[in-house]
Amino acid sequence: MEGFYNLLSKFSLTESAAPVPETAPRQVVGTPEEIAKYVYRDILGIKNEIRSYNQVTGILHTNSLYYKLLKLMEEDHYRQLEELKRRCEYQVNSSVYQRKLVDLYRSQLSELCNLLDILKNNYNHGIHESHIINHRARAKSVTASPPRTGSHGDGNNSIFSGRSRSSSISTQASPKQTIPISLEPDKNDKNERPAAKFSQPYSQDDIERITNEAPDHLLDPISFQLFSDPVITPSGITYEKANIVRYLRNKGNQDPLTRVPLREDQLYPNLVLKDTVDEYIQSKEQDIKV
Amino acid sequence: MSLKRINKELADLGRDPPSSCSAGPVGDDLYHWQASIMGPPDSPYAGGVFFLSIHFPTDYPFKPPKIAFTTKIYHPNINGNGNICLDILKDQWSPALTISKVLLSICSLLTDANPDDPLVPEIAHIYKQDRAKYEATAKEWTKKYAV
Repeated sequence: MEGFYNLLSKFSLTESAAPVPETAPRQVVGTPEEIAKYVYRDILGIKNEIRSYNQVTGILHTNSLYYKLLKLMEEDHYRQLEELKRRCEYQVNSSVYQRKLVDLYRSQLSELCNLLDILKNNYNHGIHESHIINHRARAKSVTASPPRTGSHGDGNNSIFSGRSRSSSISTQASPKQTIPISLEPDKNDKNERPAAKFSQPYSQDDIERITNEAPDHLLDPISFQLFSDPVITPSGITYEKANIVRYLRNKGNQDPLTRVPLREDQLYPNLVLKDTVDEYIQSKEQDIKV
Repeated sequence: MSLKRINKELADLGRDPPSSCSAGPVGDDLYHWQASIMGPPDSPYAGGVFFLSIHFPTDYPFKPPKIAFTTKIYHPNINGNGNICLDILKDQWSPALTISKVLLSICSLLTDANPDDPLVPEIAHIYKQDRAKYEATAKEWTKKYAV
């Protein structure tokens, strides 16, 4: 009664074991009892990763929804395990128990992986908004300056180094492709530099200050935020594209400021204003750095 | 987006407050504000201070804020519940309008009522037929409820 399991982590169960070549996704084959050990070890690995992610982002502060979710999940996992033991009448060596244990561990592992994904997704999305205004300015500076490496310190508690050590959870062919973030500068990947996002996050206060100090003509008259994709109407008024389009599609049929009839196809990009906003943001970024 | 926009409006109100009105959040809830309007000098509401409640919808500024008087006022376009009949608060709302602009519009509604589109037909009738009586009653209410 043998099964197999694709390892999440490349670390071996025992320290002394020879490291596995990176090219092949590791797969363990064995009895459920043996596999359970590996799956459990990956569960611990993911929990560690969640913990280090929290160290970097602080997303799991007490009382946050995610913190509660994690706690509930851990309690639930504990309960499931106890129940399984009870149902198998504590004969932990029986093959039925071992098989069920592997299944349980696998489902718990996937739940934890999902949670980690949600955390990352949410955190990235949250900071996405605050970074959107300096995104373009940053893109310029990234191409000009040498790639940033190891900006998170020496990585043992960095989520990025954690990820770079682990291959994918599934059976995807090349482990190289499945590593989302690497600390090493990657010559093939100039455009996607998510690490740069975290290297110097601006606080919400900074973003707010930049917006509040901005002259009115750099602000979208609908959202009152700095333009990132300004479009101009036949009346000569400029709006943020997403907002004016949302208004027009939502049964608005006029220029919000002049009340002159307006259709979506009459909007044109205002490139000069876009450059002006970029320059303004860059000048403010200098201030923040100083 | 609504929260950022509300925050910005609040900051702008603090920096450049309109002369005859004020507005701000009631408590921690930025979606619920209170505002006050001084009765315009050239109206029967002169000398009174009128309070209003403002509720922002979550899709503000794409939807208009809900604004109502909490101080009783005698006016053809404002009913006993404080509801205001003003086109820019309904179908003529524009996302480029701000609380500050809306409050100024309400101020001018106090000076120039619109009896042809009344919310309280009785008051509109008196306004049209016997302007002196309307002004006397409006003054009396102002003294009674808004001073």
